[in-house]
Amino acid sequence: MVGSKKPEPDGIDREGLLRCARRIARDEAEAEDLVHEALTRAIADPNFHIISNPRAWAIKVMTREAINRWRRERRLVYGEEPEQKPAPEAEDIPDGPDISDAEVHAAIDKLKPIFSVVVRLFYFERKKQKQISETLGISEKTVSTRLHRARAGLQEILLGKKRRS
Amino acid sequence: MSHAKYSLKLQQMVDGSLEPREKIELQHHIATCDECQRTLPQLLIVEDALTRAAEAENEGAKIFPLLPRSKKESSVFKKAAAIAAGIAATVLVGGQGRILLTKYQHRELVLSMIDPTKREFEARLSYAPLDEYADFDTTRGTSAGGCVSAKDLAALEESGDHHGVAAVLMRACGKDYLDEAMRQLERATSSVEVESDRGALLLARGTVDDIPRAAELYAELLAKNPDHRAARWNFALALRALYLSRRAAAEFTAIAAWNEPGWSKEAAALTKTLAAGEELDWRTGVSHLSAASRFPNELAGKYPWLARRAIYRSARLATSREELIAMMPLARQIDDKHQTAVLSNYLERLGKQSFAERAALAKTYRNLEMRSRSGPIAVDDLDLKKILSSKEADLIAGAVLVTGTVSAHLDKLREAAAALGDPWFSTLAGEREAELAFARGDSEQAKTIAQRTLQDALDHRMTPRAARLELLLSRIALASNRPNDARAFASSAMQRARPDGEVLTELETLRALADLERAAGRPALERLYREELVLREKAVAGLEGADLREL
Repeated sequence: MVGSKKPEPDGIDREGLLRCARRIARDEAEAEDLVHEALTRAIADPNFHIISNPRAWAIKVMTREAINRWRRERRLVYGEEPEQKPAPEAEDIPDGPDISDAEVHAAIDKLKPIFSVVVRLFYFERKKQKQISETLGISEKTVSTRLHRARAGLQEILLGKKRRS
Repeated sequence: MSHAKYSLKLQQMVDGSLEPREKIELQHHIATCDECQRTLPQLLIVEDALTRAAEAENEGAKIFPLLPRSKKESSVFKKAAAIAAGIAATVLVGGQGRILLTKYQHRELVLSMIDPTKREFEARLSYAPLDEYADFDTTRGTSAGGCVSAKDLAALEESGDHHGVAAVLMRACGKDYLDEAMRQLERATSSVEVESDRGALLLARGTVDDIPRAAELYAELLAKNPDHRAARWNFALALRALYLSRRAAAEFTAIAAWNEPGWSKEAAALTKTLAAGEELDWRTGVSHLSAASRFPNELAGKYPWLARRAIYRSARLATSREELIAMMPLARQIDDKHQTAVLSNYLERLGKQSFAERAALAKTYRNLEMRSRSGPIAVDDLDLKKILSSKEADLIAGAVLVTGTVSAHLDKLREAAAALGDPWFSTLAGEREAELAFARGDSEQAKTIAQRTLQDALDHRMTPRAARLELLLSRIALASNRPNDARAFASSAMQRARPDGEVLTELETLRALADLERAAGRPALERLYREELVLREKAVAGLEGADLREL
């Protein structure tokens, strides 16, 4: 599908989606395929215009497609019987407006300082974990653990809050 | 593995820190794990939100967004951070809000941002803290990126050192930041050093337009500052990029004689790659055009297309089957190289026919070829007519080409090319047809035929023919007042002719480029091309006429 005409419905920016897809895809062609799948479904879906958070919707579609691919691959590799049930819906992802930058900053501020500083250095200063460990004088493993817990916290604050609202 | 560990692995996959093998293992796990399947999109959504917020902040701050991270950033980052901390404690803010650094701090800040042992671009920078030699790292791709912290660059920019920002971007950040570097240079106070680095940027960017501009810039700069070392180095690079190998070799030889650490050694190595003598080898090849069976092996490797022509020419002159058999090894060697069987099939086909009649015609052809060396052949010459009325397609094509009577016998050439079924001849016929159209002033038709034939030549990987067609298209473009197209075609012709060792095409392209620059009113460039031609033309002196007519 790489190189085919690329649709782009309202509310989804292709580049942003591609960046997400690259995180789970094994190569660029697969990432392109996942994005293409999401955009094609968006165009084909008559109710797409009433979806409140098209970006999250597209990420869900891409993830589901990727999981189905991994299942097929697993069956080929391990000779497993095909499963009947489809990949589960990520029902924990709330409908609702997209997460704004202000919400992200507010969520980081809510974290304990030992977590928020790691998040800021990693995402906003673009430092690698090794550099963060050198800057803060902590081990790389501690950086990794703090980043892990910080993300879990952000997930709870950003998505949990939306779920409740 | 406990599920908590999978949760960590999921995050690592999402932030890109998982090894490919681990990624595959994890994905096979996710395929069967409901919990991971639910978590993954959540992670992606949060990661996406974080990335967007970080990007927005960087853009808002107007400091170079998304600067690539470096492999050795750790130590550099620490050093830069320490220096930046030092700056914060000691800066004085000037009247225009500029940060004033001491000379030492400034130099340290700049050096902290680059890898002092390697340079990404071949050009030499004049910017003072970065003018020392560093190895040219050819292994480093443009996407590898450099080691620049946006904050440090911003500090440098704030200090008013736009030249420094440009130099650091060039030295450490790869191709993606060249335009930003150019913008910074435009804001820098003009000086010989800034001008020289502007040329270096043009060389690094390297578009068809940039290289001639760089050559002009350095020719002018060196006329006023003949001892400027960075300018001299970059001038040599520009000459080489313009395929002016003799002129470039002379410049690099001069640089090698400076005995300047690093630069002179690299210059000496570059001189070797531009070594002279290739035209002499080529000349030896041309002298074997009529004797393919004695074509030197090493020259066949270096000039395969010349060897190909030798087979065509020698097969026409052959009066016995034995002569054809003797040239079969060369035919196979060239066929293998071009992954076809065109030449060996051609010789086999000739070998199967009766030589009684063919030998007589071959002698007529030889006679015709001899006479065409000493003067023009009439279109109704008896020998020529005898060959044209025969059924020997290769002799017909050869006779029309060596006698230079294509305008009168174009149809015969086309028919012969079709009968031979060899793309070499069909593209040659197309090329001659386009040349004729151009000569009678029909540029549009010439262009159409040349473009169509060029496509054919490329489809059949007949690169020397493609080069000559591009050379013709360059002339057509110049005549139609499209100098940029003309330059692009000539440049492409040169790029094809060089690796194939197509010396004659190279020379003709240099002539075309000189004419082009004269028409464009760029005398400095025209002079460079003419100087190169003088150095190279000796190789083909005395080779005009029949020998070259069918090349």
